[in-house]
This record gives sequence, C-alpha cells and structure tokens, in this order.
Amino acid sequence: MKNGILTFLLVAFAMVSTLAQPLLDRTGTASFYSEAPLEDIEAINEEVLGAIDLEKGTLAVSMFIKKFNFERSLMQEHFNENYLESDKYPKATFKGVIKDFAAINFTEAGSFEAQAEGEMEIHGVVRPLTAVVKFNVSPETLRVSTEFEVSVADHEIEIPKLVIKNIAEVVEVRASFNFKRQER
Amino acid sequence: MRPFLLVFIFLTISLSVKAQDDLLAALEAEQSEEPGLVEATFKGTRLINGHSIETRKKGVMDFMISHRFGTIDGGGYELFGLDQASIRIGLEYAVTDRLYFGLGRSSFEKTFDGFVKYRLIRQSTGGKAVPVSATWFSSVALRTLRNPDLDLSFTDKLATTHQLLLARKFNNGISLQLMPTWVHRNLIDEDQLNNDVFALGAGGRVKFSQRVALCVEYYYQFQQLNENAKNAFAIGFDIETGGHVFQLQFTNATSMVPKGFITETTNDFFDGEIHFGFNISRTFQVN
Repeated sequence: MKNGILTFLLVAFAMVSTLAQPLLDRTGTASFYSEAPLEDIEAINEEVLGAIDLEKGTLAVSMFIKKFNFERSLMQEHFNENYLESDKYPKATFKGVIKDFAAINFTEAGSFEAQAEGEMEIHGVVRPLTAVVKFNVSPETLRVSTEFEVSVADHEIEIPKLVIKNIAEVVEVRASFNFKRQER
Repeated sequence: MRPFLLVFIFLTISLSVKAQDDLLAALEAEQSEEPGLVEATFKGTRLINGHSIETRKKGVMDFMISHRFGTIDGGGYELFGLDQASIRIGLEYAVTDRLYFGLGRSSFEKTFDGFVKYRLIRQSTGGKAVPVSATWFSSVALRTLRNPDLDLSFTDKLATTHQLLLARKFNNGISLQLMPTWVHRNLIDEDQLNNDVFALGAGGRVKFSQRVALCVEYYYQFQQLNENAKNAFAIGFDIETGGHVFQLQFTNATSMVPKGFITETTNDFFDGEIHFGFNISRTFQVN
C-alpha cells in the first residue's frame, strides 16, 4: 500500500514537472524584409531559439544577430558591422506573455489568434512590443507564428543619409516556431 | 525511502519554479555558443597600397579601379599632380570564403599582374579562440613596356611577391597588420643590386565612425633594389557606402602592384614627393 502511494506520488510529480517544463524550439525562424525605393533587402535566421510555457502563458525568443543570412554577403557584413553592431550586441531577444491566456485551450486541435505583449531587445535597446500571434494546435505539435513591424530608429540603429533610399525605416519582421509536444 | 521522496519533491518543485522564473534566462542557457569568426578586420581587400588579410565572400566579384596622380609638389601648375595619372584596373573573384584571386593591368610600365590569396587562419572568439588572422598572398607581375635595346624573354620580365599577412582586430575600431614580404625578380638591370628583396610591412586602421576609417601602411626593406630606393609609406581614408569602398590616400609610391610599390619607390614622402590617389572597389554578388 505504501509503495502504491509512493509510486502514485512519483508519477504525479513527474507529470507535473513535465507540464511545467516549457516547450522549446531550437530551429525557429525569424526573417525581416526592408522595402526601400532603391532596393529590397531580406534576411533570414533559421537558428532562432523559442520557448513557450503553457503553464504560465509566457513566451521567450532569443537569436544571434550573426545568424541572419543575406543573399549578398557584403550586406551581411555591413548589417553586423555597421548597423546592428553584433560584436557589441550579439543577440536579439523577446520575452512576453500571452494575453487572456486563461481563456485559451491549448489541448484542443485547431487554429486561433491571440495577442502577445512583452519587451523586445534589439541593438541593446529594449522596446515594448505587442503583436498578433497565430497558434496552430495539433496533438503532436504547437505551431506559433507572428508578424510585426519594427522601427529601425526605435532601436537606435543609425541609417546614414547616403543610403536612406536603400534601407527602409520600418522593417517587417516574421517569426515562426514549431514546438513538439511529445519531446519532453 | 521517505527522505529520498522529500528530496525528490523538493528538486522537482525547485526545478520547475526556476524554469518559470524567467523563461528567457532559462532559454538562453540552452543557447549554443555565439558564432565566433571575427569579421571585417579591414573594410577592403587592400590596406592602402598593399593587400589586407581580407578576401571577399564566396561568389563575390570585385571590380577595382585605382589611380595614383603625380606628386603634389608639382604645385598649382601641375594642379598638385592631378595632370598626370597612372591607373590600374582590376577584376577579382572569391572562389570560396578563403580563396581569392585577381587580375589587373597597370598603365605604369604597362604591367599585368595576377594574384592569389588564401585565408589560412581566421581570428575568432569563444571556445576555439584564435587571436590573429593569417592570409597567404602571392602575386606575379609582368612588365610589358617595350624596350628595343634589350631582348627579354617572358620569364625575364616577371617579378613575384609573396607575403604572409598577419592581422588582429583588437576591437571594433582598431585593427593592426604585419606583412613579412619577399620580392623576387628573375632579371635585374645592371644598376640594380638585388634579385631578392625582403621587407616587413606594418599598418593598421582606426575607425572614426561606422563608415570612415583612417589607415596607415609602411614597408621597411631589408635590401634595396636601387641605391635611391625609399621605403613606401601611405596614409589614407576608407569610406564605405553600401557596395562601394572608396579609399583615398597619400603615398610616396607610384606603382600599384606589390613588387612595384614595395621595392621601386624612389620618392621621399617627407620631402613632399607625395602622390594623391584612390582605390574604388565595387562588389557584385555573382553567385
């Protein structure tokens, strides 16, 4: 009997700790698109780390600036060296919460949208961010994607007048994650 | 069994609490190491006259036009040297991120040149930190200026230069480079002294802003080609705008190929025998 209770407790705690463990995706993607009169610039980072905690409704994203890939390598060098200063500020991060989290059921398959609210740090500058996040729930996976705009000036990224027609002042950012639910 | 259970419960709770405390901090603990290669030690593939450790990235073509005007001590009559110009046109291509080659033609002595550069070691940070970058540089120059008095074979007109370029980016603003150099000529004139000249170059850059840097470069020769040979000195600015790098410089060297500016410089920089010049590099992503 005593052993039975013990086993039950162990299993229960193991379950609780599994639930509490946030879901993790190491190969999330983040991309941005800059549309300017002279040229359009696009870059993608396919090694974005994302986490979602379905117990508390919290979100976190972290990525290395140097992992953004550009079609033109010189642009990538300038992006790191002159604009984002990735030696000084190697990461971009986001931490936030899902609004009205209590009302959302993450166990039922289907798609829905919710608002995420938090703080985004780019180029060492922290700014509040609110974005619409799409969730796609299935028994095995949880897909999360979002789109929002970032003002370059808000993050104190300087664009010299000479290239003002090459770089947009507001860039479109997209991010998506695919969390596997069974993994941990 | 009891104490074990208590410990287990305690551990489970404390671990899960920790995980929830700051999701971002927990996430970053999972993050792989920061990519460590040090990029952009110099803005261009040239320090000023000579090469820097930099090569272009794979699939990039670089079209380069360089000018050296006459010496500025010609005064207003010569428009401070701008009446004369020597030009080099070059086309360069990066086969891989490490292997780079280029061809050029200089108006000075109608010289054709070709070079190969290979990045042996790249400076990096993190787990496998490497303190310096090293690039091997080899160049061949063919002088085709006609000389009716001499019957020279193809190999007689060749001169080769080999350099080991060593550089370190100390921080975002300061990079220094050392260039042990060997220049070899197959044939020298009667009044010339050495087929082989060894030299040591040193140079560096200091950034004023993200796009403007001050560069200096000096080559000390251990042997001389002529009795009146001088060491080449250059000071200049790098200005970078998108796909272009403009390099404006003042130097006592006339030639723009390594065997030329390192060993054939006869002007005295500090006597006002200074050439104004520039390099313009335009890059294209070919594939």
